[in-house]
Amino acid sequence: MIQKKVCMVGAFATGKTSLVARFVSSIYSETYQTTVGVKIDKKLVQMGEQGLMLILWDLHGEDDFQKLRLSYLRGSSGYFLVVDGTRRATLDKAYILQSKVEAEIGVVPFVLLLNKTDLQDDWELEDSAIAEAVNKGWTVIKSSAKTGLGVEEAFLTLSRKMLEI
Amino acid sequence: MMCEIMNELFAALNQVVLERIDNRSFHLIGTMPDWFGQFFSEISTAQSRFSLEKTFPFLENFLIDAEHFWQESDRGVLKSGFWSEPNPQGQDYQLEALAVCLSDKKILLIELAESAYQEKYALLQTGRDNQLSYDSLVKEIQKKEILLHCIFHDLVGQITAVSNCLELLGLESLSVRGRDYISVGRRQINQQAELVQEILQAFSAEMELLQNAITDPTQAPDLLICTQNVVDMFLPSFLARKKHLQMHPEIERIGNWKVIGERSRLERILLNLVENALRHTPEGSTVQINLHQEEEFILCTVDDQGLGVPPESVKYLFQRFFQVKGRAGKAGLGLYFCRITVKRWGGAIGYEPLAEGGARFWFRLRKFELHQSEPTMKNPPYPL
Ligand SMILES: Nc1nc2c(ncn2[C@@H]2O[C@H](COP(=O)(O)OP(=O)(O)OP(=O)(O)O)[C@@H](O)[C@H]2O)c(=O)[nH]1
Ligand SMILES: [Mg+2]
Repeated sequence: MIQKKVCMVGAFATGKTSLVARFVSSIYSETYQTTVGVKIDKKLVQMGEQGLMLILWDLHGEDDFQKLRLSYLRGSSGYFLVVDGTRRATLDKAYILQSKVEAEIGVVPFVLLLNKTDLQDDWELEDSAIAEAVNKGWTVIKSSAKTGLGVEEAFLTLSRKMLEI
Repeated sequence: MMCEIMNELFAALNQVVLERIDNRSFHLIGTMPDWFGQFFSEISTAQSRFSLEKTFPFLENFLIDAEHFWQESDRGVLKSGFWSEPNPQGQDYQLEALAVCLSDKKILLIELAESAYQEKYALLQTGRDNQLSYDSLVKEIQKKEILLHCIFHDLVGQITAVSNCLELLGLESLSVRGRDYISVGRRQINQQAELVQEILQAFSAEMELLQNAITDPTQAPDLLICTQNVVDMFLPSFLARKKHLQMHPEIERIGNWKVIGERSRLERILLNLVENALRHTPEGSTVQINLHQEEEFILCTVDDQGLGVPPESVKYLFQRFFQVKGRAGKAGLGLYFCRITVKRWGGAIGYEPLAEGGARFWFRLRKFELHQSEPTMKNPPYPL
């Protein structure tokens, strides 16, 4: 069976852990429990005839308290850049992290996730910001770990991209 | 005897001690703690050779660093940092691995990091919770400030209109009783106007801050320093998007750059303008900030190389809830906030297209003269 390592990257409290929990175990919790270090999960996805084992590396969010250890990224076949759509600064952070990741492991498939789409009233990302990412050729998916919207799609999209290479 | 104790000791401390035998496997030293055995359900625990990589993807990665460490150093410890991993029953364990060199032996310790993990977790959780509440508070304050301004603005507008009507009515030929009614009405409306002022001044800490900022010279913000702070803050974001941000090279670093205002709000104004510029300037282009000394004012300009604002939208730019279609922030409050704040400080703010293409947002603020003890506010913050 094919195995692929996938990292969850993004500012703190953007929903990395929640997205993995939604995808792997179909659960969601409102309580924020920050990730210390790395949390590993596995999930088997069926890609047509082929079984693909995703090894999910849920990395802690980067901030002043904890810097991202770049060595964690080694060997990744793909990654998610997770943004909290209700906190505009997390998109800037995603751009910064993307260039760090690319400098570390080179070009591998990734998906930009604009998470927390269920919170429309607090949404801070305007269409132009989203268009900017799309224009760079990035794959952008709106998601909500809370409602599940876009989560399955995101993981399947990344899986497909990883298998293409 | 001693050896037996040692064997038990590590297990009692929830630590697994392993020695690297070859590229594939490890040899267990001492007794295996229960939790560790659970990860190897299919293998009998009597076995003492382990391949860790398959069971622990995290260790597969760490062992690359550990191998370098074992090759190169003969002292010290290399820590993996915490990781958590579910055992086959789905129960999460918090672990940490340590690579150690002991007289040419490559030793790997894996420990169940319960208390150390909890401590670090509690600290980080508090830090991040606080950061989140702080951020949402700042956002809330900005919204409230605008709301307050809107209420005030609307109230004052209506009061002034009623007051004017009464005044005009007073010029009509009226009965004595009619005049009395009018003068009662005018007294009431004037009281109302005073009340609104008083309420605002008494209850708005914002207002107080504003007053303090103006009279206390140590509080007057330095526009050059604020600009530098904002530039430093934004540089990584610009770099990541392959855009440039710079202060005009000819800005005099010495001299008086103090202005009438308040530092955190001034930085928020700059932040709003620079963020806008970052959004609209294309890849590879430069956003430039310049500061000019004028006689009574300091002028700050933020230039980008984007498409500029469509001419038909310019006059609405600084209005509340304004958005250039599909371009501005969702709430459309950023520039409005800038305008009401700058105006309150007796300054001005505006937009002009650049001849060579691109947008220029500018604002000017009154200089804070060092010898000045009384505020020279020509316009009171809220003219009635
Ligand atoms: N409304 C809403 N809340 C979400 C969503 N995803 C996550 N959250 C909440 O956001 C908070 C942070 O979620 P986490 O999944 O812990 O975020 P994280 O990115 O793993 O955070 P760190 O581990 O600290 O980097 C939690 O309170 C979640 O309940 C979402 O899609 N919608
Ligand atoms: Mg997390």
